[in-house]
Amino acid sequence: MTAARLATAWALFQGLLIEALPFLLIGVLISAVARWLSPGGRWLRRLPGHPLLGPLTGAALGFALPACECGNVPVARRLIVAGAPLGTALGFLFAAPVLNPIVLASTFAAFPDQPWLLLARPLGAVAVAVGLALLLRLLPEPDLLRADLLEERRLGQPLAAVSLLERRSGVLGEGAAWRERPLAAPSRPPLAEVMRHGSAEFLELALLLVMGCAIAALVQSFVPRAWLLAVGGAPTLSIVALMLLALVVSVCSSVDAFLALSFAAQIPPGALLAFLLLGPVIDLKLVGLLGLLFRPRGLLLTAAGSALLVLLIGQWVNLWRL
Amino acid sequence: MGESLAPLKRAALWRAAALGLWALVLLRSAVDGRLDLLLRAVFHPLVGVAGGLLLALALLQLALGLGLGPGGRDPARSGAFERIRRRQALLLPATAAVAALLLALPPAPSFADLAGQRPRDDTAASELSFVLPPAQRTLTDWVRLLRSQPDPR
Repeated sequence: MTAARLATAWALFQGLLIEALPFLLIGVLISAVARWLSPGGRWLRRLPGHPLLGPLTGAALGFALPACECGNVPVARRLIVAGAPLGTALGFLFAAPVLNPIVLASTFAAFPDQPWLLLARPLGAVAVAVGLALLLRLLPEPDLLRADLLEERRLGQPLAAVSLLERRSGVLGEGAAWRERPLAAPSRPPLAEVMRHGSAEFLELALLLVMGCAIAALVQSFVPRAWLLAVGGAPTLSIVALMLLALVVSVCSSVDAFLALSFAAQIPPGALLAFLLLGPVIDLKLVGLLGLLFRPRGLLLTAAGSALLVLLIGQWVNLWRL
Repeated sequence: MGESLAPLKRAALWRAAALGLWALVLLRSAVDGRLDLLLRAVFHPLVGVAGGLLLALALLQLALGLGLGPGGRDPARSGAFERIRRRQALLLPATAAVAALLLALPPAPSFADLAGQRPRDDTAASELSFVLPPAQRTLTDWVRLLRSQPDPR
């Protein structure tokens, strides 16, 4: 029995990983091309830093990247390193996995008879992204972002591209002062260096993805899905159960609508929307990748904040639709 | 100068090997039929294209490692070079090992578990045409059939 479950877990692991790898590659390639074309990313620093306009702008950038949440992480990382306003980068990170043509098309393909969902999913994703961006901005950047990411953000370029003296000199204090210091325009890096950096980034992210997929596959194999769907009738419990399911199955946002279709008839509409909103923001597969951006405190705040926002949205939809 | 470039070239060769293995994982998955069991039909071409891209990247890294292409910046200017090189010295073999495992161990799931957990796959053909008689169809064919048909109402 255990051997059969492990064999199934191995198959599920391969399915999750092979499904996510192409999107991870797309994200890394876009990040690498962006770094080559705009090495200083000066235009990124001109994006709005307004608490509401910033995340909305970031969310709108998602239409340019048709990838799931795995591919968004390297691009969001690139935005943060290049000095884009944090709200914009966070809005992109949390909303772009839903606000892209492929996900919207797959949602329509899976639920053509539920037009309310075609509006509720993108609007809900924007609401969650804006809410999370506002929440995470309460933390100072040194408490939110990983130390190496913060250092790269302050320098505006990857650590491997600058000397120890450049890293350690002239960077004092925190806050907006460092961003106003005039930076010399960095030259376009050689293509070989961009390829080296992109390859290393892909391999590092792939390893984190492997760990996340392994955890998700083991949980799926040893925790019967029926346990989570047994509370399908209860309005609030069903939302919580479907949020847990979204965390566990860790399927890419490009196809989660098709997966949700298989149990949509058993659950209230609020729970269905909760499943479709939480998965693109955070799941077991994504935890390792998000750990490249956030400190543990930021990660916990992201998980708690997104869960609370999605629960509230799900409850509201149940009140509206039931 | 030559000695300072040797670690860069070694790292490039390791990256080439790791990328090549991942490329093989995706390309082999695209041709050996395991995608029929693992993924929805609409994603199959994307896996093949991604495998091709990774293979191209691996070959470019190999060219860099063998000194056949333009080199990167002088490593003496990279202040974090040693720290990143040490981290990659651990990461690269680990990721290459995972890719090698995926190549060596194809999926062999419990078909009862897979069929029981089957999601709908509306991207697959709604009517499967079988060339072989029922007794000669593989378990993969039957799982595909179960996935493409809706649950009875």
